[in-house]
Amino acid sequence: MFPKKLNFDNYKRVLELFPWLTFLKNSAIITFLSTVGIVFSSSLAAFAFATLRFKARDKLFLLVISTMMIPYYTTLIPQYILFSKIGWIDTLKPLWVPAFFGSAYFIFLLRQFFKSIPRELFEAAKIDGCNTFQIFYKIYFPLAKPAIITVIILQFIAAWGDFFGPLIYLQSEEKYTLVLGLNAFRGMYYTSWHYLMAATCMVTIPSLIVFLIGQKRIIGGITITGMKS
Amino acid sequence: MKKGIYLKYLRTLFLYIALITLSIAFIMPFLWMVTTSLKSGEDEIFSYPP
Repeated sequence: MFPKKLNFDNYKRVLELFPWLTFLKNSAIITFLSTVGIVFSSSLAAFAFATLRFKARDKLFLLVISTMMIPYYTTLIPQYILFSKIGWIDTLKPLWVPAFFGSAYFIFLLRQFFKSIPRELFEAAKIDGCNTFQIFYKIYFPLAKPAIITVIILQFIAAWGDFFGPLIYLQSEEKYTLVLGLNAFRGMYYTSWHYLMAATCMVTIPSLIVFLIGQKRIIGGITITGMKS
Repeated sequence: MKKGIYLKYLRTLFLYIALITLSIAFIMPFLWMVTTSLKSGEDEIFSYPP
């Protein structure tokens, strides 16, 4: 199980073999943009579901929530056809643009948090002359910081570690993400396990750091949003 | 009274044993990844007994 001698040369060799900077740049673009997109779209949708009063609000919310029950793989083919028709295959766009259209899970998480904020704040702001968007970004968004941080951390980990999405949509090597690049160490007849594991260790570090920093926030954020309805 | 404290400690002990046993299932793949990344080559990775 444990090595007889610690061989750090594997890490050095992996750094030479792997086009790190290109893959890192692609991973960083996807992770950053999808996180921004998720926070922006999900918080706005959650705010609307939690505070605004409009026709069929609850039914619409139920519809959004019910999309969580549809497995990703069932929508994969229609989504692929759609993206190929608009010429997005082999670009990074299919991996971050959908994030700007919200995520049912995060909408639910944030809605629960927004509902716990007293309605009086909304009404007081309205009397003071704020419009609905101002109420959102001046009052609700800053107050929802713990839940927003939870969303950021969860989305970061999901986007950074995503293998399936890049595998489907990316074809040329200069577009590969770090996680997809790890596949290069796997051959048809031979796999360099020591190099693959050294590269995996390095790729895992950012996720691990984000998780360790935000560990309390993740648990706290989910607990808060789960407790209040 | 003493019996109650005894039972409480016993329950905590069992809980810890159960949690440690369960955590092994999650820690082992991670540990394998880290140790394999520090090995010299195939012979050492697939040596038997490990």
